[in-house]
Amino acid sequence: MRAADNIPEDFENLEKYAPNLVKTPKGNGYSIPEGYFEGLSKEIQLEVIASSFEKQQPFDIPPTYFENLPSILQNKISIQAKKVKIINFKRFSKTQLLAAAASIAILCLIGVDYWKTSQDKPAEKTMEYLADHIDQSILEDALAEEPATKAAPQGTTETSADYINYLIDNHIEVNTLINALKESD
Amino acid sequence: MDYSDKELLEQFRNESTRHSAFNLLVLQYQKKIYWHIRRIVIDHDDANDIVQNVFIKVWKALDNFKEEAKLFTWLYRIATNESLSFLKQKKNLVSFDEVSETLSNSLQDDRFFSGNEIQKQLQLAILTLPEKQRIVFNMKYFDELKYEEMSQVLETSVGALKASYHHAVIKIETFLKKGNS
Repeated sequence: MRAADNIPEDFENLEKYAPNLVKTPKGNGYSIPEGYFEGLSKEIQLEVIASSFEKQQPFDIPPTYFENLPSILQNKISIQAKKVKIINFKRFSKTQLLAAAASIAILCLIGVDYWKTSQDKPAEKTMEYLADHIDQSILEDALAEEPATKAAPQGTTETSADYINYLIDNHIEVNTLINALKESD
Repeated sequence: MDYSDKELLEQFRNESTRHSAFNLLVLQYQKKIYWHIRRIVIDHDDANDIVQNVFIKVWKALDNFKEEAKLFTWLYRIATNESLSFLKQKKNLVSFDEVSETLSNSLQDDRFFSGNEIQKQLQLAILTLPEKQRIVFNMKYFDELKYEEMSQVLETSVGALKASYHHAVIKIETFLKKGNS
């Protein structure tokens, strides 16, 4: 039986079969924004223009670039792996690791103590520094230029720290200075 | 002024007048296509998206239009399929009942509906129909298409369309009668 067999001949007579529907105004009732249709054709034209832009890549690449890329990357990964030495601590025994840790701790303590002691005796530290870094020729030139009895300018006070700073700044050898001072006495 | 299919297609196939021909086509059919879509999806923003998608598809496919059917029938079919795809996508995310409820709720919101109470009741009645039946009713009752045209759009026999329309009318009448009593 076809679907149309069950419907009456005059089924489109709505006044007979749907009087309430006929009474209902046929207008839409739906709202649209003001000026919607005036702008719609322009919007569609813009979409059409945008959709017609060809989505091509503008850049060129070497012909077999993608075929070679996996092997290039693999090579680079292998080289990186060789450069990195991984120390496997598991191959050392507990005793060996403890001994290494103890040695490092002792060295750190020595370093801390040395630093502390060097902080307490700045003059000695400076003399050691001077002994390592002073150039004898500069000292001799400095002594030749400065008269032994030159008076300090009025209003200034030159301390031993000032002299030491001078020597440091000009890389003067302290042993030579000491000898020169002894000779000048 | 409405242009015939032949005039529009000739102008469209001419490179120098392609864009102006397409613009004429949009102006000629935009309201009918929009309202057909809107009655299916209810929400204006959804309808706006779909109508634009439809015309972009038309732009891309118009060169290959075979003129076996009328241009308007072809447009209508694209619009119907796009609207149904949209609803199907929505159903994939939420249940059918939630889609129906959302569509009904849209009617209650003043932003989307400015008709009187009787018109609202009619739209709510239409929303109780199954999707295909709803489209058949809208195309016959509001757009006043012939069954032969509807048959080309929906690829359904004329007999089946007549039956579908009749059953839709009866259901709507029952709904309205209950509302009035």
